Amino acid sequence: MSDKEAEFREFVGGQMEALRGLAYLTCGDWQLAEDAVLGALARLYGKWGRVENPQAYARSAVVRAAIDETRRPWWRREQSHGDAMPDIVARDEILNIDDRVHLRQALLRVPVKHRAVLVLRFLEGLSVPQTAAALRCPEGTVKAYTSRGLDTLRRILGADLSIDERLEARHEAV
Amino acid sequence: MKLSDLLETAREDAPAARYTVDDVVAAGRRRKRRRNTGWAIAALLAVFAVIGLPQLIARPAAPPATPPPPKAGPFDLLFSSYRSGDLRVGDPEWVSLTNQLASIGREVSPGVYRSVGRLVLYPAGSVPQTFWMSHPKEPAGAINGHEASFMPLGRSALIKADTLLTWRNADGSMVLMASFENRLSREEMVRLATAFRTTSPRPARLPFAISWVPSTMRLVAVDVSRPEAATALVTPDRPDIGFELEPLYEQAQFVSAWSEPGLNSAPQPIGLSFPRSTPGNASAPSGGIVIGVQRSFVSGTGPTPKCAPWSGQHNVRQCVAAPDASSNLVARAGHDVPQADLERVAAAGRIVGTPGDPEAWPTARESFPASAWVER
Repeated sequence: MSDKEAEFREFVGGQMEALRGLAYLTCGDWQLAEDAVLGALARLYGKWGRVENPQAYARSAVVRAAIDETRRPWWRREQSHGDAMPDIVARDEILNIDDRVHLRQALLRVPVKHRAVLVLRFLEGLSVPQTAAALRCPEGTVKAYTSRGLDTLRRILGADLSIDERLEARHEAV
Repeated sequence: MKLSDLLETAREDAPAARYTVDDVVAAGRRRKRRRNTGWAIAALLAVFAVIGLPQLIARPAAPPATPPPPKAGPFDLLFSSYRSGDLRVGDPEWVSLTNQLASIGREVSPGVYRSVGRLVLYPAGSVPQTFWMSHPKEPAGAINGHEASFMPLGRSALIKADTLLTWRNADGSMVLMASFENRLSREEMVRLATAFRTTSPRPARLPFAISWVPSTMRLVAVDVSRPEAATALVTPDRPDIGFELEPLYEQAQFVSAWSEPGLNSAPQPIGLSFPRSTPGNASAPSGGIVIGVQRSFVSGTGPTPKCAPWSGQHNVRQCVAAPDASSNLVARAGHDVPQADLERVAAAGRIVGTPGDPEAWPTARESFPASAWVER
C-alpha cells in the first residue's frame, strides 16, 4: 500500500460517518446517502494528493451528490421493498426517538436545496461564502435559501427556532 | 430550540454503514481504472480524428492521377513517335524480347522525310549484348539528369552508323541512338535524346495468326510498322541463340513510308520488302524462321505451300502459300530448318481482323500458339 493510499484510508475512516450524516440530512434516505458518499469519495480517491482541502472537497461533493440522488429519475432508482410499506408510527417510550422521527419528517418537507444550505450552515458551520462555494451557487442564493428554509422549518415544527450565536459570530468574522 | 442541536439529533441513530473504507478504496480504484481506459480510448479517437479522418476525407474516389505504370508485356510498345524541330522519331517498328527499334527521319520538304538515323530502347532489366557497348566512350553531358556518352564508330558497307549516343532514362531503361553518315549532328542527337520519353505500354498487334510453329521455337521479334503486311521471327529456344535489334543498320524503307503513307495501305504493298528483312539484312538467326503475312494475293499460290530456294540470300529457302484468295504467306529459313516444318508453318497462317481496325487485331502474343510464348 502506498503512502498516498494510507493517507486516503485514514481520511475516509475519520470522515465517513460525518459525511454519511451530512448526506442523509440532505437527501433524507440513508441508502441514498451512503451511495452519495461512496461516489464522492471514489472521485476523491482519483484526485487524492491534488486536492488542497480534502475535507471541504468531500463535504461539497457529498452534499451535491446527495442532492443529485434526490433528482435521479424514478427508473434509475432502486425500489426497496420497505418503501412500499406504510410506516406504522407508534409512540416510542423514548422521547428522543419520537423527536428525531418528527424532526426528520419536518426536514424532508423542506426543499432539498434549502435543506442542504441549512445543513451546511448550521450543522457543518460553514459561512455564506463557503456554503456558496460548496454548492456552486451565488451567495445571495445561499442567503435566500437560508431564510426560506428556516421559515419552512419553523412553520412545520411550530416552534421558534434559534440559530447558534457562536456560529453566526464566526460567520460574521469570515 | 437551536437548529444545530436539532440537526445533530436528526442524524443520530444512523443504521450500520453498508460500506467500509475498503469498499471506498475499491470503488476509487475501479473509477480510476475506468477513467484511464476512457482517456486511452479518447486519445486513440483523437489521434484517429487528427490523422486518420483527414486522410479518409482527402482520399480521392478515383485512382491516383499518376498511377504506377502497368507491367509491360513482352511485346508491348514502350515509346511513341515524336518530333523535335525538323527531326522525327517514329513509332517502334521492330519489337523484340530484348529491345525495340525506331527510325529517325528529317523532313527535307513538307511531308517528305529522309532517313538520318535509328534509335533502340532497351527496357529496364534488359541487358544489351551488342559489342558496340564496349567501344570507347566520350562524355556527352547529362540527358534529363543522367550521364550520356558518345561512341564514334567506323563505317562499313553494311553499317551506316558513324556515331552512337547512349543514355539511361529515369525508369532504368537505356537508349542507343545512331546517326547515319553524319546526317545527325551531335547537338541534334542530344536534342532528340532530351525530348525522348517512354510512354504507357501498349501491345504490339499483328494482322495474322499462326496456329503452329515447331514446339522448340519461340517468338522473339515482330515488325509492326505496316497495317497490310507484318513480319515475325521465331528462333529455337536455346540459351546460345539470342536476338537483339541493332540500330546500326539502315532500313530506309521505314522512313520512306512516312513520305508516302498510302504505300503501306495499298492493296499490294509491293514497294516494300516482304517479309521484312531483319536489321542488318540478315536471314533469320541460325535455326530460326522469318514469317511474313500480307494482305494481297500472289498469282500461282494456293493453300498448299510451295517451297523453293530464295535467291536473295545464300542457303535460304522459303515456302509460299495463300491461306485465302486475298492473302499471301511466306515462311523463310536456312537449311537447318527442316522443309517439312517450313511447309507446315506456311500452311498454318491466316489473316485476321479487318484492315481498318488495327485495335481489333490480336496482340503479337495472341497471334502465336502458346508453345511459342516466352514468359518474362
